[in-house]
Amino acid sequence: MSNSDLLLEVRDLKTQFFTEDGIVRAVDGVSFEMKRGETLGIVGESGCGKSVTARSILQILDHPGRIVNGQILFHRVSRENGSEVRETLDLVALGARGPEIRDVRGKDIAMIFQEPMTSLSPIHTIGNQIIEAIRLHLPVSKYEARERAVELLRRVGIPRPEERMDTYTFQLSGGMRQRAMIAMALSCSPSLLIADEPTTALDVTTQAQILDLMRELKDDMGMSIVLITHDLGVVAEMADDVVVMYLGIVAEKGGVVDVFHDAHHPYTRALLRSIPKYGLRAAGQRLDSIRGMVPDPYSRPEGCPYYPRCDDMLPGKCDRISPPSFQIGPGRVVRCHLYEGHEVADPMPSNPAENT
Amino acid sequence: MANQQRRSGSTATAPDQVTGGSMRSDAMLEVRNLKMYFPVRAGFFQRVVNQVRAVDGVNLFIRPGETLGLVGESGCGKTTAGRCIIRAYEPLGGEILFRREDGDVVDLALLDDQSLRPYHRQIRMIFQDPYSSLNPRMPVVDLVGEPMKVNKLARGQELEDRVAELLRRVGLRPEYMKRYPHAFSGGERQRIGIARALSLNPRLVICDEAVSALDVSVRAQILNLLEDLQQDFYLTYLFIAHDLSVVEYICDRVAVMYVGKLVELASTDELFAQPQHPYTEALLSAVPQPDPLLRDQKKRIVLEGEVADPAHPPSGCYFHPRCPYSDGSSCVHETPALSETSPLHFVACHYAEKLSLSGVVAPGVLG
Repeated sequence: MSNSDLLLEVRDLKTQFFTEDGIVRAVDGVSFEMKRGETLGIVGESGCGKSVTARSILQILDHPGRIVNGQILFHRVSRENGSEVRETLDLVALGARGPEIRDVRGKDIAMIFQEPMTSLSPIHTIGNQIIEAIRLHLPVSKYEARERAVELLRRVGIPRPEERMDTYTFQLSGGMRQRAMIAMALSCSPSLLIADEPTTALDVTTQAQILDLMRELKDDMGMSIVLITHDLGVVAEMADDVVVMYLGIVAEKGGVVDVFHDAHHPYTRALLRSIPKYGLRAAGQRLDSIRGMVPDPYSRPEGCPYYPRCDDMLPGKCDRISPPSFQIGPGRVVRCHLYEGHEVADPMPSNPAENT
Repeated sequence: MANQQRRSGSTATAPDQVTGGSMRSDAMLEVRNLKMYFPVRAGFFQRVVNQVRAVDGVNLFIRPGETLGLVGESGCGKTTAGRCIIRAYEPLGGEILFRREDGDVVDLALLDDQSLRPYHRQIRMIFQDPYSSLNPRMPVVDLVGEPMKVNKLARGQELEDRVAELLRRVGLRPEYMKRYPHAFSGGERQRIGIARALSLNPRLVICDEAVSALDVSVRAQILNLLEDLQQDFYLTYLFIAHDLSVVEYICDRVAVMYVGKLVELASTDELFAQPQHPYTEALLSAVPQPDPLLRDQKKRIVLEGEVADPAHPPSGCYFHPRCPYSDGSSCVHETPALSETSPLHFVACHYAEKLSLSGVVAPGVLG
């Protein structure tokens, strides 16, 4: 298999919410891949489908939501009796229930959230929660699990970890809770960590600590990170590759420097111009804003979802035909009619992975 | 809605409420030694066992027509300070000197509710969460028109006309005035909040995290709107925020708070280029910059530990347990006073003039 360093491939993912008021196409044909050891930033405004994409990977969608199309290929490397076992799992095919997906969740792919109390229990001690997570996936004794949990808490920078094992979440500050949640996520040494707005609720100095911690852990443990955020500063600081989403589609993707310094999609360009940069005002410049607002999810525009706000809109085209994704360079994809003439990126490559 | 329609000052103020001319002559509002402690109660009799020193001796001033940023991390007391200024909280101590349009100075901290009323018209507030600060049972026409109705400035058709005018001014369609807040997006609701704040022709507007809940593209629209309105109506803003890149963009001067105290106050250009307080330096360096090429060049100071608990503040300078420059003696034992180290640059640090700290904007870039 040529792509042994690939970890995750998302192909033409469509996730929809079947509500009483109609179908919400939250993720509408998203494709990307990520390599082992990479940090992939998924960035976009609220309602762009970045969190739903993340939840689709782990199959933890909330009730009326369902994956209706696509593949999520996870290339798992595990060790059995000393030998390396490589297999490719289609997480969509595994479904949301059953032992196979449960074996992946928490063990191979772990997730951390904006609000630590989403994944921590208020009525169990920190220690017991981490011990439970370890013993669920690994064949270790209670004593070994406890040792490991203390080690994890120390590793994420919680002072006096032996004492903290017996504390409850309400006894910890926001930053410490975030660390405890990261410790729990790391308990089984996952190969992929999905971080959904991990620092949005934190103060900047705490955010700097947590981002540093994530970078260190990634290097130490050879982990890959999917970092979901609306903060372009956090993406610029952390990511190797960036996926820019707008209303359920990938507007643009590429290396972080390319996307920030050579943005092609009109949305990416406008988004970058609408964030204040130091010295802008001193230079006498104003912020450029994007006119209008993100449309209501029930009334998605026909054609390109960005056309009503786009300054480069081509009448008769952008408002009618949904643009394909164009490959404008290695690893660089832009979903916009302006780049017609470039090769169309195939969302479903013809050689689907073996042994699925 | 034009400037001349603005109601001039108050008429009901008794002469003894007007303090002498001891206020800074260039200021419109001056806060001196403002204190606000919240009691911590415990036990069966709910006795006061401790105090949370939310605002612990804050000094600042705002000049007419400018935007003063008040920044700091959560729990530093910036919102409490803002609420004390409009007297939503009863401050424990300190002076809130406000210059009336006739030039007289009044201490808002001393006024009772009745005599405060005219000042509530002149100082208005815009809140962070446009979802919870607007009553969901009131249509826009009432939300925006209510302050005018309460103050008996307009009614009936005249009121509707003025609401329509305000809505147009903040970029909303007047046809929507009969709708309820749920029909609007976050950015539009924030515009409604702004229209409501402007309905009484205020002189000072306190923006409490006014753009923090908005998406990036919408945030830019609201920031530009606030700037336009400031120009058109000669508004003065106290801009309370935690997002330093927004503050750098919109503010003329910036005040930095840490655990209830003001640690630094300077012009935006100076503060970002040459901070003089170690906390300001660390805070500035912690903000992720939206440019991947900067990530390896930048020297980032990651502070140890956490923000001090305002119920149990440390001794001496509140920042000393985390400060990389602490000397271990005077920093631990003596509280530094806010002093003017260079014209209009105020710092509360024993070593303000000895340290050479780095900012995030090259001084040469600035005009």
